[in-house]
Amino acid sequence: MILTIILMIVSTLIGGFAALIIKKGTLKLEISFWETIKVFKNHWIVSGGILYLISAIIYLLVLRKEDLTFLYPFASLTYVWVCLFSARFLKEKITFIRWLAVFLIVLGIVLISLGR
Amino acid sequence: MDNKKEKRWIEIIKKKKAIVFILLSTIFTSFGQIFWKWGVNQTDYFWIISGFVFYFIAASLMVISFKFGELSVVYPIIGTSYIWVSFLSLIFLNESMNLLKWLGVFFILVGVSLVARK
Repeated sequence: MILTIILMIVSTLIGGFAALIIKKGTLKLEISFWETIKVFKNHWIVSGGILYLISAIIYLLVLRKEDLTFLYPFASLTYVWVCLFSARFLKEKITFIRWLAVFLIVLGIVLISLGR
Repeated sequence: MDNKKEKRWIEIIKKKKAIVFILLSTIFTSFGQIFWKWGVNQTDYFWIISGFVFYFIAASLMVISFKFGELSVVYPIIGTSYIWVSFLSLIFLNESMNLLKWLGVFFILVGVSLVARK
């Protein structure tokens, strides 16, 4: 179980980081047909896509051995990382409500692990 | 007066569109998870790839919903995916839930709903 948790932390960390750099890539994009094609030339978006794929593959490897109802909730850790990354790299403030949200997500994951 | 009413109506319609799109997205995500579990259980690449396809559709629907609505409206609905996946797992994967797991799902749902708020 410890290995599962470590792998899910790694997977969600990579996934959260992927979300961040994809966001960075879309900041300059406009929504139009030609811009959509350019998505594949955008280094940030392509890198983010690759990172996301890596995180998904790690998740799938763990999913072979674990129940979905146990594993899927770990995916919510991604929101925790995005929260922390945004504070660190995008200078977003973590309000009290965000800390509360992070606490509740972690609490939820702990409960689900206990219920396994 | 009419101008204000019209603007408010437009906002309401935008919100409803956002909710419809994110709801559809969440359904695709949830079924995608079931497909993935089917796929890795038997190393069946058809279901693994189907899961990715559904995930791609879900992501596209989510991007569209962000165009219409704020994160604080959209995220709570994304959070419900933990409920759908639990029920779908009971039905399609023969997994079991218990009070602790449901409590965990509930707290995660509330947490995800709050994480998008300012």
